[in-house]
Amino acid sequence: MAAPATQQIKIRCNDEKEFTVDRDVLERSVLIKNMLEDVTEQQDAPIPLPNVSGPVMAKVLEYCTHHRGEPLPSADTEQSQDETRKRTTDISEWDQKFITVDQEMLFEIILAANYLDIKSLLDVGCKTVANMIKGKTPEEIRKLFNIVNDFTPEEEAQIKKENEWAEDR
Amino acid sequence: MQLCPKSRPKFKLPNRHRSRIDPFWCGGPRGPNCTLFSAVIFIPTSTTMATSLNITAGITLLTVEPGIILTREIATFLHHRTRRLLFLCLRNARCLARQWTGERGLLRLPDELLTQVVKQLEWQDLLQIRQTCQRLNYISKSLSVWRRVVEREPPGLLWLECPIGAYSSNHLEFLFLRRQRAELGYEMVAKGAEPRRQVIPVSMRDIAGPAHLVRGGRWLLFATHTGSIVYYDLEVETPVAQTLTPEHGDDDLVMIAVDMDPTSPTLQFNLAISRRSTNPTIDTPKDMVEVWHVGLVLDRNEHGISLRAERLASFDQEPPGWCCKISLLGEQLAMTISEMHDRTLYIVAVSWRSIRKRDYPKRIIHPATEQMCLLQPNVLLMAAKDGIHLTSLLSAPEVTTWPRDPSSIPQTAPFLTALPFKRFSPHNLSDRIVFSGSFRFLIHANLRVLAIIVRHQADGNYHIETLEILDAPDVQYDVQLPVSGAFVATWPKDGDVHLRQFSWEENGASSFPVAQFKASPCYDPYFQLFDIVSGRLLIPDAQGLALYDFTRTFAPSGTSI
Repeated sequence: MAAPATQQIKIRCNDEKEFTVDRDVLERSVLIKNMLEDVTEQQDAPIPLPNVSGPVMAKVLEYCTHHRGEPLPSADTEQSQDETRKRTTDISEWDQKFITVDQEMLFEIILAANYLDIKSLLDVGCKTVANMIKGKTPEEIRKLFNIVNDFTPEEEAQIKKENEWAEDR
Repeated sequence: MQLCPKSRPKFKLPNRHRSRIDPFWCGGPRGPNCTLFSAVIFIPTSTTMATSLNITAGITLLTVEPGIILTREIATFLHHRTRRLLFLCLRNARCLARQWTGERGLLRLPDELLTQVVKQLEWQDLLQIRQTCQRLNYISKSLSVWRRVVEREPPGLLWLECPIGAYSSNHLEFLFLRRQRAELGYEMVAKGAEPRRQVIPVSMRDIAGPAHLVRGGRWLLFATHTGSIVYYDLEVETPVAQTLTPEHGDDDLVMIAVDMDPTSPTLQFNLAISRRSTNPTIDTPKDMVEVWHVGLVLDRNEHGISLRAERLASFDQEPPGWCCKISLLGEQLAMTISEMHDRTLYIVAVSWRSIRKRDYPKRIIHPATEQMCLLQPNVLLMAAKDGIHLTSLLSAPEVTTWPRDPSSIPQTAPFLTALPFKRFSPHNLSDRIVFSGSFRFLIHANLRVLAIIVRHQADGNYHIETLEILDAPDVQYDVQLPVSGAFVATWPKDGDVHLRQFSWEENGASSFPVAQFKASPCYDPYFQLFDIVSGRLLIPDAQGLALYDFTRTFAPSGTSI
């Protein structure tokens, strides 16, 4: 039996920061939704979220509040063909603005969305990273994300040779 | 289950180990920060892998999922159980090592999430990102990434002969990139490069009729004068003839028609053969018709390795005579036959599956035309001088014996006719393609290439539309019509081969030149086959059957299966 939408839920992040949030906002997270469904009686103790820090949770809650009331994507089903064909730049304007954050926050949001099981937010995060990668050379990608080139010179030459036919395509 | 220490332990992998992480190494973290967890195991993706590595006796493997983060408690527990330093770092869990060593940025995402990011990339970006580092290289090769790339493509750009689930990531990548290489090859040939040419050593005198390149460009079929249908696997380095149907005797001319089974997950089609045997011991040639079922033979890994044929039907052709066109659609078989005595053309349509003996039921369409194709099981499309006709097979009475007096054969009237030009002279009609709910054909007529679109409307009526897609006054020989979205034309005056690609649209079709290069086709027997997806073109010439491979126009390198 679903509780009234106005029910307030407390959560506690790993830096002891606590939030009190409307239940329907929090239920964008499938993890929390399932937890709440498992708990029958009202509890006052906050739900501990040891994998998420306060600043990240604030950001995630901003997203959940904006998208409250939207239908949740059905769990575990593969995306439909149409959805699969959608090109990755399709991020709504609000989401784009929301996800314009520094890199570390972006990765924190992705990790949190994965942990909390918020599929749409995870998608937005992954698409944003993908858009950052698009059209860049390997060197540019390394520079952007501080990736260390761990190929041996021979490996690097071989990989370059294998892929150079597609340059400028 | 995902556990995480409240604060990340701060130890660094010794530098000398950093470069040796791949695929795994054993050792122990050293230094003052390591006292609490001298045993850390990075668990590989599957527990079976961990077990097979025999990490150490006495460890009770916890139920581990990819992406589990070991807590100090687990590490301590493991240390107590093993009493020794152990540090295994496996390729799949390298991200964990980075978390423990304080790696930041993109690479701190676990493989599962990195894969989700990489899945969003287009193929060009995949080829870039795989050059950045080992881990992204590995992820850019994963199966889910290439499945997504292939599934994103509009249908028809890639042709898989097995269900997508049967392909390895390498194989999918190979097929997908081959298409891209072919596109690049066409561009380079258009700029003056030569496509790679390889000759399949077969004398044109041995080929008994038009050949067929099965959709996907891998399998080439043709009949030989021994009555056998042979096939070539063009995917191998040196294609050799393999027997599909056994030898039969001496055959003058063999016509074949292929009816693909679109519902089968693996490549399957029916093959109709009309052959004229001239056995020296009998006076008159014997005309036979056969229908075979051809399927892909799979190896243990569910990869197609060869073709196998099984005969479904065999019967005498009635009336005897030269069969100049054959069309197969499901249970229906239609043949244009030039009757032996009066040389008049008749189209004979039979339901081949129910034929058991001589004097089988048949319907005779008369007057007939050479250029015809079954549109639907009981509807025939004919291209004649007086237009494009749709005729219902049911409008012709069913007979069992060929009438003694052919003039007694009742004439059939088409139920719909369209005349694209006043003086319409059709030469060459393509096979049927179903696109966007309508039937599509190409036809070479009046020195033009026309697209024919036949719609079967909701009210049960048909509608024929013809569109000119190429005005080609220089064409002196037939234009070979499409095999998977492309066609090839030869202008024998200058010996050039012109490749054009056409694409069907909702309400029409368009064509544009793809490439042009010098070749020396021979025209007996006449056929040219082009498969745009695999970048393969076959042209008979004086040396044999020339196989042009556009994917090898530039230096071959890179992915192979």
